[in-house]
Amino acid sequence: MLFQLRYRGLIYLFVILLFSCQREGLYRKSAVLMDTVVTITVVSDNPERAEGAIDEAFKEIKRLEGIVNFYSEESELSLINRNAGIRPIKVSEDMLDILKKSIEVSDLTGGAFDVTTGPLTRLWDFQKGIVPDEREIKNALKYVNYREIVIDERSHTVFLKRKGMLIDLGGIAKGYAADRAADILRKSGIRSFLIAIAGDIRAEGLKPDGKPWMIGIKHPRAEGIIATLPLTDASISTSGDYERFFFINSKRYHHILNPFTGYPSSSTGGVTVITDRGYLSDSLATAAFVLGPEKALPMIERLGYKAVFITEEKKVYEAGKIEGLKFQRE
Amino acid sequence: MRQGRLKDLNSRGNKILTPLDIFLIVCLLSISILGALYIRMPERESVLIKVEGELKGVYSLKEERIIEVKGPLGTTVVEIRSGKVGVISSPCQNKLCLHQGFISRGGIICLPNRVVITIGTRDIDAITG
Repeated sequence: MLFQLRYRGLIYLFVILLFSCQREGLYRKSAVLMDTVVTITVVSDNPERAEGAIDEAFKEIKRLEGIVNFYSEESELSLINRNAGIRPIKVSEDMLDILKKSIEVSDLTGGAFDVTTGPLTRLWDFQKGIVPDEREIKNALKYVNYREIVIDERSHTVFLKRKGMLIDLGGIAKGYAADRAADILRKSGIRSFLIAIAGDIRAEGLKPDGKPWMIGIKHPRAEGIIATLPLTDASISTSGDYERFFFINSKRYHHILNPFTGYPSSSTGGVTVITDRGYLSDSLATAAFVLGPEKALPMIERLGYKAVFITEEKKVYEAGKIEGLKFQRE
Repeated sequence: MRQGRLKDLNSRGNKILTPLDIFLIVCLLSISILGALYIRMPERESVLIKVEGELKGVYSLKEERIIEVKGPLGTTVVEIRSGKVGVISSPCQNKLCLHQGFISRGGIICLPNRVVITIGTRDIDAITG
């Protein structure tokens, strides 16, 4: 009888040890959302739970995409744009939130980030590669002013003051979606994860080996990466002149448009920004590239964030000290 | 009855290691060894491809794919299959890289075409830009 008890006790102990030894693993899944590749990596001890959490996060990104898509007629954003100068539109909590955050960043950057650059986005076609007529650009610029977005929080409405105004959330939506996807993963009990919506990345916790997530910064003029850095509990985004562009007479025309001039910003290469929120990294990277290193870096430093500019000539300018930033050997 | 139980206990107490104890020790040891092996796994998960010293791409060893790598001589074709990586076609003359077959650790170097394939010496989880 006693022997049996002891025997059973040992079996229980063995079973408990076996389960406690179940290793935490990395689980990764990709999907095409927001016109780009979204990859989510999570640390979990259960493959089903990991996949379930990732799928929920994908669902949230897809839902947000349906709201903020500039090119879809059905999106809430298009409804606001179509009714510019006509009437205020009742919008979702998400739209209200992302617009308030956009305006906050516009204020922080003195208008270098501005979501009302929609008329300019419409004008520049980077696939066809034609520089728009100067008069057209001047005319479009008249409708660029984030101060003419009227938000009424009590009635939950958004109104664009003048007909012809267009909001384009392309410079903030991916970072914002990464924040929301992170909320979903946390709610599912995932503590360590990496969300990459193209180059807009949110990292939390550590990998199973106890190390932070390792991020590569894309080389602005070649395939592959130019530098690496460890990241945890932070968001990182990069804006550069190499994503969408065309050349005319060896001059590069890229997609980061200066809201003050209507032309591509005169910066070269790329800028990577690290903050505590995805929407901030995303929008501040755009603003920093518009402003150029001389103006942008003191601004980023003043805000308490970090950034690194890597120009076409591979000159490096840093704001704040980025721990563990390592450049690749050439 | 009570006496019987006492006797039983005394006689068992004299044995230092019962067969069950040895079984338990062996189990625990094997679990810890396996655990240590598993924990090292993630570091070997990614395949890094460099051409002339420049990193061209980072791929997961778990995702099967064929990668075309352009070097100074031409295109080296790399395949990732069943957790292993190998070169399946190369423009070089000696074809040493092809003869190395598929590997799950270490690296393959094609000197003539300046292609270096290594497994997880430094893993990158995501790329911004």
